[in-house]
Amino acid sequence: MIAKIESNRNNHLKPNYKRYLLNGLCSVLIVVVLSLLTNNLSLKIIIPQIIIFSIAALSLNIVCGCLGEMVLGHGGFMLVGGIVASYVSQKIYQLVMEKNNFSSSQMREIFYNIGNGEVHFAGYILVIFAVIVGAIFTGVIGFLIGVAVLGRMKGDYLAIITLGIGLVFVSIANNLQTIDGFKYGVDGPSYYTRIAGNTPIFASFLILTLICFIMIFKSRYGRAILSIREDEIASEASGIPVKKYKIFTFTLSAIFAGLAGGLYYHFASYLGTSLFSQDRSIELLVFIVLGGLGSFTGTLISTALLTFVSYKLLLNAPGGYQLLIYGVILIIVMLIRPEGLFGTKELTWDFIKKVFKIKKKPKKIVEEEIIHDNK
Amino acid sequence: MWNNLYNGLINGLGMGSIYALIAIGYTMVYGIARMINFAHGEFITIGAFVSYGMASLIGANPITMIICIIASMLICAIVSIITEKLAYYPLRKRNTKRITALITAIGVSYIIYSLFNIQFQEIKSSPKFLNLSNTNLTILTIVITLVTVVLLTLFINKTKFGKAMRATSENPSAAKLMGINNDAMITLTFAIGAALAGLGAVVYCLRIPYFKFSVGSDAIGLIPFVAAVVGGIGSLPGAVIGGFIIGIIQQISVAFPETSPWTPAILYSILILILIIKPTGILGKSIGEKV
Amino acid sequence: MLKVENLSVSYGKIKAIDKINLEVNSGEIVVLIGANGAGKTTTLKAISGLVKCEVDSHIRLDLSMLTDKRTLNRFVGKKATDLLLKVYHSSEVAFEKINSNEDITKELFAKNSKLNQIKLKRIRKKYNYFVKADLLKVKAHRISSYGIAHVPEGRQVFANLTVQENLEMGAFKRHSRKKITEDLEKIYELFPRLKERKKQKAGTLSGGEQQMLAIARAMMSKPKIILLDEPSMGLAPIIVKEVFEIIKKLNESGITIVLVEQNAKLALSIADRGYVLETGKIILSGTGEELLNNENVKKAYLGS
Repeated sequence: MIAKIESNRNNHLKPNYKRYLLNGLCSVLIVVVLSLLTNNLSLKIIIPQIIIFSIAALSLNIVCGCLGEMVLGHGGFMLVGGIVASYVSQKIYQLVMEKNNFSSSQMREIFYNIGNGEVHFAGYILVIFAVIVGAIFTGVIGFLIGVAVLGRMKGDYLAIITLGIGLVFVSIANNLQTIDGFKYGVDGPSYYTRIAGNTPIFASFLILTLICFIMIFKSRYGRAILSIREDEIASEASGIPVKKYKIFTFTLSAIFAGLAGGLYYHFASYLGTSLFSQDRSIELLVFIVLGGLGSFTGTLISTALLTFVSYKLLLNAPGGYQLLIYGVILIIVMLIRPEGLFGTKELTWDFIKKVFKIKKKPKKIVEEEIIHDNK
Repeated sequence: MWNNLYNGLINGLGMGSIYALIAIGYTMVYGIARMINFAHGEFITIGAFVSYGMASLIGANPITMIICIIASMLICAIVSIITEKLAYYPLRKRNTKRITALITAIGVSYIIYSLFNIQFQEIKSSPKFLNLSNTNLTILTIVITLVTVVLLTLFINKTKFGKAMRATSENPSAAKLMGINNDAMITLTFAIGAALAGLGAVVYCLRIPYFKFSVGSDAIGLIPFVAAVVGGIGSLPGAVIGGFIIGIIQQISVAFPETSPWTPAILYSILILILIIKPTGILGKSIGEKV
Repeated sequence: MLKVENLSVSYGKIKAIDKINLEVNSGEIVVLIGANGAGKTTTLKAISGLVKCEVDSHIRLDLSMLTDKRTLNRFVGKKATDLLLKVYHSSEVAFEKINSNEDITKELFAKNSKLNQIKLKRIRKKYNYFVKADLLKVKAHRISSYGIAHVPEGRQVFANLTVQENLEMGAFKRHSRKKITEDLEKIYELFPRLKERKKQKAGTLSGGEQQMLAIARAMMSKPKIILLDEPSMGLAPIIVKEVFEIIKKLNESGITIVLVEQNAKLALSIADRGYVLETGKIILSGTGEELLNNENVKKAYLGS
């Protein structure tokens, strides 16, 4: 018996290379499919948006879904990330131009080819660098807020205070425009949209986000987070450093929200503060609730679906109707299936196997050998 | 500068009384149903349009103002009862999570907002019920608010149903044992809150000469909610005091061109400060958590 | 008076009570003892409607619970009750007549007009709406109208209401201002400490005073049965003695008591009959004395 238990344990600890391979192939597939889809012009605008909001929604989901703390001002973090990223990339652009006394056309030569619109390596580097700086900065802010706030309040109060923080960010951002030298968010070099058109970059960010979240939240650490959601006091009593984990999760969520914001600027070349106000925060919340709090797959699917639907509605119906249908959908879903599309479950390989009735080869039963031994 | 300050104060008292009336709705519903009713702001829109419609039917003078107030309060109460029974009550029955109620409230607010958006695109001019100077108008507004608050407080503290509402918000299951119908109490709370918002809408029309369909979410927006939280969510006098404080601060900030664009930041920073220093608000009571 | 049949309650997937049967007779003190988590509180909550029970559970009320004047008052209203009593003199007979399908319009209203027939129909409708033989089909906030008062576990007074207001809440379903004030006076005589603290917020009272308040609050509804959930919990022994004196007094004045207690010795000493609950099932039942002397009970709960 003991031998059997040991051998099972070993199997569990061995990295499941097959699974990693499958996941890797899947990610590449997703990137390829998304890139191909963007060849269709109408989707060219939607796909990057879906990616951006998926990243933002996922970052919200780890706090609201996994950690169980309601956060209402998430758009504010996106805004911070966008502002910093746009400032950095514009500043660098400006500095390079001034330092080397390039003309605008020479600058364009460095970053992209006017002729065929191909973006050069330098252009990609600039954008990626700016976006990452934006994300880190947002993370620092998120960390500071988390330290200040997460220790002392939770539940409704936390929701309200995050709402306030988000709105304060928006208001400050509105006024920053007037401060000299801090012009951000507009007049970006037009090659940004070509980067957005280059979906593999954006999709890679999404895959990166997913990998990061899955690795963290589907591991032992993730289970600790879930236990904090269920019963904080019991978790603390079990030795989980609740405050530390909460701050960590919150900071992580801020980082990726900032990432999404930075990507948004480089997609739209524009950063309107109204885009990240309360409406956006609520929209993200709706995405994750409809997809299932705590379910990454659900978030992805619901974000994609709802963004797509709202775009189609925008085209066909006048503005008021879109919101009306949206509101009705919300209420109906909450009444019928409040836990969202996927609840807390994910679409895993096991589930797919079950669906397609792919049977696993039964592992060698060590038991027989033991029985022989006992004889 | 003093002129600005004085204007800000007067306007603040005036707007503050409107915020106070609406904040009462937020705080009462939270107290009894533990729910932040994000759809509450939309009752301003409903009330404004109802009084506009009535005024265009029966004219605008002090007498019709009373009728419009009654009509606005009634219709707001009825709408809130309908939404409560259709959207919130089923959720309560099934004991769903709080975030579900929140999302539903957001859905309701979207629906009401878009219904008015679709129907009324243009800016409407408020019915001119009275012809008063700004100062006198403010005094009238304050009087209306104070009278309403006094009546409401008397109701809550002295009447059987008022006490039953307090009992329900404190301890729903013990209240059930007394024979108090929790659901009826909650519906009553929603109705009262909505009626007060309807009254606030008419007062708003008195002060502001025009409004549009987004008045609930843009012009008034979350400010009464901030007021309710600052004053102490769950506490009736807290909502009133919070309303006046926030109104005064807002209007003074708006009166000075240096601070005017920063007004939202200032207000929400106050919210954050209060939540950090005294989360239960100015008049709220600290409730310890029982392990 | 009250019969619990086949009662099962589950919290999610966990069965708290598994098909128990209880009987409560008029004027008794019936005691439920058992360890923590045995399901005692859940049983009381099931009776008072605070938890949902599974299908096939029944709680049946005797006619004696339904036919007294006060219940009639609560169900068909004061005017109708006065009329019925004027004609029939006894509430039991009145109940019978309403319950039957006899055309008693002429007896009641002297004139057999259409209007009076409608009036009779309305009275019957109101009564039928309330008279369900199965208490489990009644909503929680209507249960108190049947004369069942529940003093919940942990007192559960309304902390931010004053002592007086708490008592007034107890009388929520009653309408006669005069009688309510009279009863308030009587309660204050019985609980002088509560009278002292009339205007204090209930949350500021000590544990023992809160327990008195909770019991007094239940008494204000003039119940026939009082369900008491662990009244001795968290109280000093001397206060517990006081509380139990009051319980005995209540019973002597005619109120039936269903008592859930962890302090098995004390509970059984005043009990007429008792049931022992263990993990949701009734494993023993008998008179108070029988259980006090039962070997198993002694070993498990009486510590001797």
